[in-house]
Amino acid sequence: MATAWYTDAFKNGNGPDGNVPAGAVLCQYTQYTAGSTTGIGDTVYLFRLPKNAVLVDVIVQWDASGSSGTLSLGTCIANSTTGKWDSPTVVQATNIFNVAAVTNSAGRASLTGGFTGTSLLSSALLGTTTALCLGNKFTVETGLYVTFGTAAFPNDADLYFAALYFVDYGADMAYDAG
Amino acid sequence: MAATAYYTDNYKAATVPDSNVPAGLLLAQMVKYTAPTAAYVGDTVYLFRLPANAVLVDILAQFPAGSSVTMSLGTVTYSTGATVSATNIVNAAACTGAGRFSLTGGFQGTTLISDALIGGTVGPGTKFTVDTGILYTNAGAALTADDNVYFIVLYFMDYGADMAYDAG
Repeated sequence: MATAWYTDAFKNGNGPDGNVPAGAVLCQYTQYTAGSTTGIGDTVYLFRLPKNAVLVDVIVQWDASGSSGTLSLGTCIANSTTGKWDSPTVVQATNIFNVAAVTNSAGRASLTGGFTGTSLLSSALLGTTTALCLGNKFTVETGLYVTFGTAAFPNDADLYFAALYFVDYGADMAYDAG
Repeated sequence: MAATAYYTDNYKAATVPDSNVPAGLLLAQMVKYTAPTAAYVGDTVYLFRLPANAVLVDILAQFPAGSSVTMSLGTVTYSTGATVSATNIVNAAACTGAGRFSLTGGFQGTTLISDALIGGTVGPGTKFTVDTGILYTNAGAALTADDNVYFIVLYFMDYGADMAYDAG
């Protein structure tokens, strides 16, 4: 049965601080240890980023998984009915990482590349279906969460996640010709 | 059509980027460039302006698929507009498939991007002694109209005389 897990950073009653100097790079980090063998569709809610946060990078490390392990990373918002974070509303499950193969080997990934064992992780890191661009600015407070495909990680396997972002209060980040 | 120069708001702003910030605090600037027409060989986009004493940490880029595309990143002396080098950060990285890179690696499609990311004399830890611009150039039939390219630069301020090391 698919199970939802929540980090303390995600469930904390206080929202992440959005009143910080513009452009200063901030980081949130969390470690997830599988409480049992993860199943298809298991979800771990990781971080909440404040409104106006600009995503710089997400850095992930994982232990060797079981066979056919995959990992996706997506976004969610507070429950659209209750406004609470204990049952968030999904925006898209694969708009950051789209089913990255993490089969049987430890590895690491960031938005700009990664590896599992000796294999390159590449286009899966672009996400899919309204994929988020590098530098995406969240207009509302947004959560990041991971989902596992197939029989991904054994009991006690560790996964580590760090999200880098800054807060931008400006109207745009546009360009002009000439 | 002649090669065209484009300037981001970040680059053209009359106010210099804030350089009076705590030393070592990691800072970021982000910009999105949308090609207004098909990009041509030699088109240049002036992306970022970094203050004197900025130390470069990383540059992250995301690009769409294109045909025969290469991307280069270089530097400009901001006060004069003179190009120091168009390829001293990234030197003609092949970006034919959609992908991303940072200074430490990247991918296009399912292919690794590697040594093109060692452009020249500028890289992680380079300290700019004067206000410095970062520019992006295309080669090949690079981008189609409305294609988006995204860049983030990471840096910090160092007010010390050097970042040397001593033995013993």
